[in-house]
Amino acid sequence: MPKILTIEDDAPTAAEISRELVDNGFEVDWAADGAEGLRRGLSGGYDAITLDRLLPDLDGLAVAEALKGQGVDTPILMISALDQVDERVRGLRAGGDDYLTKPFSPAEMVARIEVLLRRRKADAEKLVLRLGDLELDLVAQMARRSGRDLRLVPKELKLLELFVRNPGQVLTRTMIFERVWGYNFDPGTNLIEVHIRGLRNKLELPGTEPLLHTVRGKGYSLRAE
Amino acid sequence: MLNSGYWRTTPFRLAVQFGAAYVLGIAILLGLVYAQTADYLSRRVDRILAAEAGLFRAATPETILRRLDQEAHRDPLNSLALYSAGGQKVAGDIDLPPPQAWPNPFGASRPPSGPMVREFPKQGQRPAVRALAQTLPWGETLIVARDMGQLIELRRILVLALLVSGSIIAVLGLVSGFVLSLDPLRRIQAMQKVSERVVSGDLGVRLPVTGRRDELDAVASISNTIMDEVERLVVHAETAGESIAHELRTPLTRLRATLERTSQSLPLEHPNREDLEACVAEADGVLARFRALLRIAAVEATRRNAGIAPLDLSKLIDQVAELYAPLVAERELYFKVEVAPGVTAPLDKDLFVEAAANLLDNALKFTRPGGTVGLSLERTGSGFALEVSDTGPGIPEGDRALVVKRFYRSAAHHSIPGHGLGLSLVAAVARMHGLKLSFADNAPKGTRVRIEAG
Repeated sequence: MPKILTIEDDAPTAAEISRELVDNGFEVDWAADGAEGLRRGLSGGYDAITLDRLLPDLDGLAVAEALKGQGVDTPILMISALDQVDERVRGLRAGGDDYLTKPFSPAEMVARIEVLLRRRKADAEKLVLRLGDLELDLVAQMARRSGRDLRLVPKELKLLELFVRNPGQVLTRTMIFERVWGYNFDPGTNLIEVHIRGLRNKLELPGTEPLLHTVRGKGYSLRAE
Repeated sequence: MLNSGYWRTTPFRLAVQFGAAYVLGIAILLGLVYAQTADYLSRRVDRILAAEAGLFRAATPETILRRLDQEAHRDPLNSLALYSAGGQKVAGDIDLPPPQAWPNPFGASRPPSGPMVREFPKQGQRPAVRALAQTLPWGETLIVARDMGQLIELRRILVLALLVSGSIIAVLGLVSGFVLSLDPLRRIQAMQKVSERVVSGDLGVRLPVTGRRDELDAVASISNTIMDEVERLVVHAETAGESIAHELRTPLTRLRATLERTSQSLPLEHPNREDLEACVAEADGVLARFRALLRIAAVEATRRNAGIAPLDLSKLIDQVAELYAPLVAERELYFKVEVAPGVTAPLDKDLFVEAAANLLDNALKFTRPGGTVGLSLERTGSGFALEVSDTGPGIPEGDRALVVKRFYRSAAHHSIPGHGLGLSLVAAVARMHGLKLSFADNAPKGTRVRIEAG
């Protein structure tokens, strides 16, 4: 069972986070301040950390910097009520692996934690990715299903790569928008939906199993049945 | 309205009024001098005339002509004449109407008993004179006249003095009024410019105060105090909304999570599940409004120039067009994209794309299938202009200033989903970059929204 460290000074928020994580099959430890969080984080043994940006005394940025400075490579999800435009950059620069702005939907947080956990294991250097009968060749910039070229345009290839690198993961539309297009704002429902539909139409050849699934109220997931 | 109205300023009016008062004062003064002098001269002349006439008191009909001859050249200013009882001139060196014809206030029926004194204006060679007519005991009339040229000359001098000094004062009054009104006028114009900025939403500016402590300074100080208070109240009102959004979103997020969990714990066919999902969707709507509101506040609080870097705007807008193309196609709309190549501008990439996306979302929302959504980027003299157009219902002239206000939604479009914050965000982004946001008709139908440098 993956173990998560939640560093959060606000007890109701911490309870909410841990409840959601426990419901999704994680084990959660809670640290109520930065010093305690840093001590536990340094001791190791965690698969991921959720770190509140604003903490009394030792602030979230300092905790992230200290952890990374000590060579701890546990992925960190920064959580912050600060949605100033340059806050995200500062959070990521300090050592956060992902950044989530309050208020967030629990599904969004869980999805991001799961992707962080996967990323740790995933082999980022692989250039030919496979899922079932789907093959994505990043060198040739080509996707094939059952040996047939799917004729994807570059954006679709990038979108598919995100899904193939995170098989079975739920990816929310803000995550997709961030990673494929590189913009950090809520694009609304329809914009991502229509791109997903376009990709899905190309992926699903007659007589093949559906691969790209909509997870209602959460996002999208690529998995072979 | 103030541009050419220097004659309407208080200093100008006062200077002209003072000038007029001075001219009137001088006229009265000179008039008085003239009246007094004329009166004095007349009385003096009258005494001379009476004395001259007195010289003839001892004369008889026999001696009169000789006396007349003797006296005739004694004083060059005096003239003498003798008229018969019938009104014929008998002798003398002056021609005047016969005494019987002299104006008589009592009428011809009552001839005066004593001597008569009258004035006669200049006529031909004869100067203006004052004349005394004395009826002699034997019926003839002696006329003694004295040249009044002095008095006429005096009057001419005084009238000339009045005209010259009056016109100098009038000119001085106008010129000094004009000069005096330049400075207050300049200050009023400066105030007017500041007021225009306040009206256009810049509450941080204040009227200039010169420190001279004059009445304009007093008015400016009073207005500034009022504006301080207005700004405080507006900021208070705005941040109150933000504080509420900030405070409520955490409990609301928890509420939403609980609703969602409860709904998902129920079997799919459970009768309450649909209601709970509707509650979750409603909570999502409220959270989306809060998020948008806080996002606008964040953009407004962002220091100007923070995150702004030179950007290949042509490339960026091409990417936005590519991002939206599938959505436009799905709505069965024609997408007209015109992007001038090689346009660069210093912009915050994320915020600018977010603003453009908001404009495109609006355009898509309001255009029916078969219509056209336009996205264009052009190079202009002052930089660039980005335009998003649609063939929807358009924004009525009167609504254009309102659509950028938070939560404003046109009464005509309440059926179209939205929370009325999209254009507020666009306006905030434009303001942060110092860009101009404007709305125009897209003939024959629809709206053109333009963001331009300048």
